[in-house]
Amino acid sequence: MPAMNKYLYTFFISAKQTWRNRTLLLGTLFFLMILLFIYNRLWQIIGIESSQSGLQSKYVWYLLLSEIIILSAPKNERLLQQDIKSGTFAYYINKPVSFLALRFAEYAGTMSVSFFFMLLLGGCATAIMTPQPPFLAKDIPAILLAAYISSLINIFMFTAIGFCALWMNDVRPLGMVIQRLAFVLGGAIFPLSIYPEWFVKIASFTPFYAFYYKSIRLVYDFSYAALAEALILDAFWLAVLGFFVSIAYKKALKRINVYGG
Amino acid sequence: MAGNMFKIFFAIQKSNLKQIFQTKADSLVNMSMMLLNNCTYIFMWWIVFNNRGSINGWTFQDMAFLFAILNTSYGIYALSCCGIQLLPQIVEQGSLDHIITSPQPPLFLIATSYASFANWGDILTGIIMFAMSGYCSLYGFCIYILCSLTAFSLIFSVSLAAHSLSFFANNMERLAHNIFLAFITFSSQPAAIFQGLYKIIFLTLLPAGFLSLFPVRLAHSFSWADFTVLIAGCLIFLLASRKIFYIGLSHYESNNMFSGH
Repeated sequence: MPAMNKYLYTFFISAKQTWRNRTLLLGTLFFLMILLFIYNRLWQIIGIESSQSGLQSKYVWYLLLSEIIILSAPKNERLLQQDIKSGTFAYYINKPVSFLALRFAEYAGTMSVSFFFMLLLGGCATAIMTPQPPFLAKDIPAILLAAYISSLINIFMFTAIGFCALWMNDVRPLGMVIQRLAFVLGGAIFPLSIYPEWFVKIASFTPFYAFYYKSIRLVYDFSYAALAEALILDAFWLAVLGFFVSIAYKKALKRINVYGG
Repeated sequence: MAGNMFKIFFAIQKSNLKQIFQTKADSLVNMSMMLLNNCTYIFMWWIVFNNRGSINGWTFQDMAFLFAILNTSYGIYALSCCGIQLLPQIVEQGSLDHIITSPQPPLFLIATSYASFANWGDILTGIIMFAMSGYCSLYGFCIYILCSLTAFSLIFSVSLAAHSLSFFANNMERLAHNIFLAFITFSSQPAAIFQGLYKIIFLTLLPAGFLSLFPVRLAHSFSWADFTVLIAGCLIFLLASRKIFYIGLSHYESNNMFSGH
């Protein structure tokens, strides 16, 4: 579709720019390696103490995917806040592009390069650290697809947070809190399978359960039914987020039309 | 000279506080979010310890004590001298010129140039964690204060060494930030998971062991050997980082960019 071409080109330009800035990628990879090393030791010791073989492998691969989803996000809530506060948003209103779609394409381009870069190198490091991966080779494409979709939804969620800059002075603390809620309610560091049942029940009513836990746990508990469930839940919460973002976008447009940017 | 430095330090803190209290509501919200942010980490560890009982001899009380020291020391660092984190920007923008020409030591002026009110949330978290740790005796309190101060000196040292890399190469802000973050991440793990060679690396290359291993050992029972090693280690890293800063400063060349600070 010709109308989509401009967003596709934006995606590729953003991806190329991100690839050029490899020091940034290496810095993020360095941090990912630190986390993998630390939690590999932790699960190794817990696995030995509780005589559970395969525990280390399961949870380190889980951590790899969850951290890739979190670390590959380009902190777009801060970028969007800057756009709104500086008036860049107003500048794009009279252009023949949707500002929202344009920025999403940019963020997705940046995220995609980080995602695959960390997946390749982080995946090699994890494969060296763990004796046997907890998944079958034939399930890898489906697992990666679910993780990539979760990454895209993660960006969209932080875009929604960025739009809160219309009402808040600084969205960074809100972004930080949402990320911590993702750690706890989405099981981004420790999987929800180690949490008590009552907590998992509460978490299941939040979007983080779908975006993170349901998608990432496919790495050690794959089935097509689980994949379908994860995608359906993702679609539901995406619709909810989409509704909020569309209202915020209309509000932003109205404010710019009234106050002139 | 020291008297003047104290006067300047208090004047800068007063000015920072006045700036922060221009937006009281925002500052209090940021502080509360920081508190919530810290509580999510300890909640996750509570879940792990609740599940496992202990990890290689470490209990939840030890983890709470570690978090008490880490949060308190980080809070002190952020409130008094986190201007160090702006060093790469200051060097690249040429704002160092007017600092090095002032009569006060440049390290002092740079370190005290910025404070973050939100980090009062860290100090509050530290106090709460100490209360939860079970080491709430007079002896435990003395160890908590002593180890918070030694941890503060370590955090300052690592931050100074990492951010001083900007004197030697461009675009070091992200790398410095990642090194500092890696140190904090290592420090926030139970030291018991690092044994053998890992323990040596843990105590030397990234001195996180001085922050997590020795304080908990001292909390269990006092030992002159542990106390001496802790103090000596902190002094060595403090002097080394100061040396790195001043070597870097001697390499500094102005870029003739006129800017205020």
